Amino acid sequence: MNKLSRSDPRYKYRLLEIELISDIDKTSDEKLIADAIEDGLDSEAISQEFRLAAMNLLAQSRRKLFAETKIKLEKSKVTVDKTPVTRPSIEQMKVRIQALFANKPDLAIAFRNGASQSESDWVTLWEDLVEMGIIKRDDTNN
Amino acid sequence: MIEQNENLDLTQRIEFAIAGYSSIDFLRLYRKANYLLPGTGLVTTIELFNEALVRTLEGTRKWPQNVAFEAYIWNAMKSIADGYRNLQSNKEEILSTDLIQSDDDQAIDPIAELGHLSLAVDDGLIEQEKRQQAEIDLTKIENYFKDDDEVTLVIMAIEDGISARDLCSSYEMTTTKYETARKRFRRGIDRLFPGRRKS
Repeated sequence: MNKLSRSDPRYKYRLLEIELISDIDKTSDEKLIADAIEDGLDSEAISQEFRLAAMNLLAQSRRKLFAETKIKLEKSKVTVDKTPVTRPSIEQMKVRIQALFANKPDLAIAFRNGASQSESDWVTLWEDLVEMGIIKRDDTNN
Repeated sequence: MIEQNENLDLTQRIEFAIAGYSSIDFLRLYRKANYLLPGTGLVTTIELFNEALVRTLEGTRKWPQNVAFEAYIWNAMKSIADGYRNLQSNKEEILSTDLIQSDDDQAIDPIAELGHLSLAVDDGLIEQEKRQQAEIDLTKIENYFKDDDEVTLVIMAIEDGISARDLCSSYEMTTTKYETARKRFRRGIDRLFPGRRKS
């Protein structure tokens, strides 16, 4: 209660408030219920009101969190899509992959001989090798 | 109260704590929180409870893991009520433009006034409004008990820091009469500030 003068109504009320709260702390459950009944209060209804208020706020908070997470995920997805794909030319790809197969014959087993593939097959194979970490994603060097 | 699980997230912790609250716990919280309303401008205890929960969920108030929800929410509500009554200092800094304009040969050193919260114009107006709000509610209380001499004495004793024993001996009041007057005081406040909107 610093800053307040004794003549400040808030200071005076604070003194009353402390006593009133202390009285409730000392009041038994039975007396509390009896007083509520005397005042026409339904303790179950009061309890429900508090519970409902809390549940509504929790639901709101969860919806907000869900929406925020969704936005974050969408943003990160867009970022990935926007990343430009860098690959060497088809001819360079063929040379690099064939050299790779020559060094690692077991890898070639997964590929259909490599003799008469379409361009898209080469690109797909390149991407598969990038995914497997055998070739670096941004590797455009000869 | 149900024991808290440290692995729960905040919403789960609150949900868990609320589930462990009995109707008597809520009734006690409701009664106590009603006494926080005068001077705040708030009408219902639910408004205060909601505000405490919203601030907790938004992270502006932290509920420490080792503190029981009962104690945490009560202190949060008390602190928020104090804020509404402008009893907590939010602003530590005052700009030079906030200073009162006066003559150069003034007796008061303007530098010494820096940091004096009452000099900020907006703060001053808010302070005045909050004081008036408290004045209205206090007058309401005094008027409600004006015909009850014993309760008036109890109020006066609390405000002046006079003990129950001293009050009883000075005014020849028996302990029973004092206790009854004090109960009338509390019950009167309960009716004066019911903490709920009339349906």
